[in-house]
Amino acid sequence: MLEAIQQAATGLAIGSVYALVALAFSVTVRALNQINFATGELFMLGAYLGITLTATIGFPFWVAVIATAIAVSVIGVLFEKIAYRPLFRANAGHPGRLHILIICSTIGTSIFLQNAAMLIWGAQALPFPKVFDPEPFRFQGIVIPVEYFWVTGVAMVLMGALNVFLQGTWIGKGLRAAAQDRETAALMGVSLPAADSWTFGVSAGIGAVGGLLIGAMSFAYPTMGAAFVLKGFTAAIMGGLGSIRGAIVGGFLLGLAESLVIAFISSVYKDVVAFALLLVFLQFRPTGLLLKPVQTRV
Amino acid sequence: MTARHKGWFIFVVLALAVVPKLGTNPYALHVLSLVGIYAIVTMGLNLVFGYTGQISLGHAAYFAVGAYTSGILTLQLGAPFAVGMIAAVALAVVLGLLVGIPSLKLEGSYLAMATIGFGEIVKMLLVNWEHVTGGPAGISRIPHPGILGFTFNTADAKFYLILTFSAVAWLLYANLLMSHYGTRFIAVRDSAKAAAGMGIDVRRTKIQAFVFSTAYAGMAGALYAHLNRYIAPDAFHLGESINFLLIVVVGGMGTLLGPLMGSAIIVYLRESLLVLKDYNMLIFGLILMVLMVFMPRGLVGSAQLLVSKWRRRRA
Repeated sequence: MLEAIQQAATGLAIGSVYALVALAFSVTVRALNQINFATGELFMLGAYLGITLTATIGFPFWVAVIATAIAVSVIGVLFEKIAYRPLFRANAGHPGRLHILIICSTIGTSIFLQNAAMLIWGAQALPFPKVFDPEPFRFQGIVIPVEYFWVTGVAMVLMGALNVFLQGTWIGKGLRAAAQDRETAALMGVSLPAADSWTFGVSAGIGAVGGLLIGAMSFAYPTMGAAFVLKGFTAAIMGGLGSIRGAIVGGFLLGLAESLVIAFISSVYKDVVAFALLLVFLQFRPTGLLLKPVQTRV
Repeated sequence: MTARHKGWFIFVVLALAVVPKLGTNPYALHVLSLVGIYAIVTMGLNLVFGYTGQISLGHAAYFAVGAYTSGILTLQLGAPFAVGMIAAVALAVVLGLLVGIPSLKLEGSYLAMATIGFGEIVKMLLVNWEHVTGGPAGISRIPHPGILGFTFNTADAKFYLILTFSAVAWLLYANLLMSHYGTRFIAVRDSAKAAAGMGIDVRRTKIQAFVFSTAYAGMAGALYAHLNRYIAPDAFHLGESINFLLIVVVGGMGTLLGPLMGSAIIVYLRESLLVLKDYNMLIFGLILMVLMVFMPRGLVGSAQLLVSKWRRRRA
């Protein structure tokens, strides 16, 4: 039992990171019906920036989180302007082709970023500096490292902030309107190019914080994005791709499912869990737990 | 195919057949053989997403199944090359049906992710099913291909073998797409609903395209195993599936010649960027981004556009 509780704590911490990656996916899927395959690399950049900002510059952890979120958001906005918008403009009349071109372009970006990171930080894994209290939290024989609280806490705060941003601010309302119906939103005065830039920026920032948090629990390496992209996507599908609440629910569920498999079966099967869940959900409930099944009409 | 197409086809095959006689070095022939193998895989894939409009990011899996099937049969059971090849294609077809029938009801990003999922599962199998696949170390010393007592054990001979396979693959592919039957795929891509309204079985058409492509991937995989004589799971990861996709897009989605041009260009880019050492993949990524923006129709598509503009201006 202790083992299960211990693993569940890990599951919650990792799950909160999955939730952030799932959110990063969901934000762009919801607004533009596009998957950004470079999400994993923005995540990886977050981990590296976190290490550089805390270890080299010596920022406190929470300042590093905010600085990383802002820096990677700017990269996300640049990506939208350089790689997304020209494609979107030139191929607006061919949605099928646009979709595949965007996938290729985001793959090009991810190859670029992965290799840029390798040149800047080296190919070896970088450990996160010791910024947390090395003495873990102990309670009735359960031992939980302090960083798990930080990770879960920061993720929760970010999710809350995203919610306030989307529901309470003018920009957030504009984004939601554009996600629902682009033409009508444009008629109501929402600038669609600005909305798209914000969408990519917000998605990149959230993904980057996810990467930083995973970095804080382990370390950073150039290809770390790929491993988390599929898990984040699985989490997004489980909750309902494009749903904000769904991404959060899916993230925590996946984290818990993985940790319970480790506790009761074997850690060898940890990575199979995500694939199996992904395929089961895609087959039987592609709209996820929270969204209603869609029906397309002619 | 019209007489003009046939003429071009014979001309190109003969021109390629002369290449080994020009004193080309074995390494260059090896690279050209790889272009042929990639071309076979991507002809199939072009049918799937260029013509039928469905995405797959898991074709490295079928390529791997072909390579391992033929490799294991010929090495461990001493089967002849022809048996290995037929088994490779058959298994790739079976797997294509198993994956395609449930997956092709999905669309867009969902289909992309489902195919990635299957691809990763195949890769995990290759790594973990050690007593059959050799695990992470893979299989080495796969025999040279042989047909009717003749062994293809030089770079020249292998080049001719792969050229023959590519040429036959091309004939099948081009004939299919230029036939009346081939227009069904385009109809499904352009509007599934309209196609269904015209009496086309959309689901069946998608599955046919998908299985055609897995058969081609299996065939190319078997050729790859016998060309390299060494296979390991590393060669069949997601990056390879992405590579196939890029070849089709860079060559020109939905153009007959796209896969050939794309394979040649991508392999050439990879080889020539090697001089940049650490920077080579960085530049490769940049080139891709630039190509997507400036050449969304791919090389062949852009060339066709230029030609048709030029003709219109002359008329």
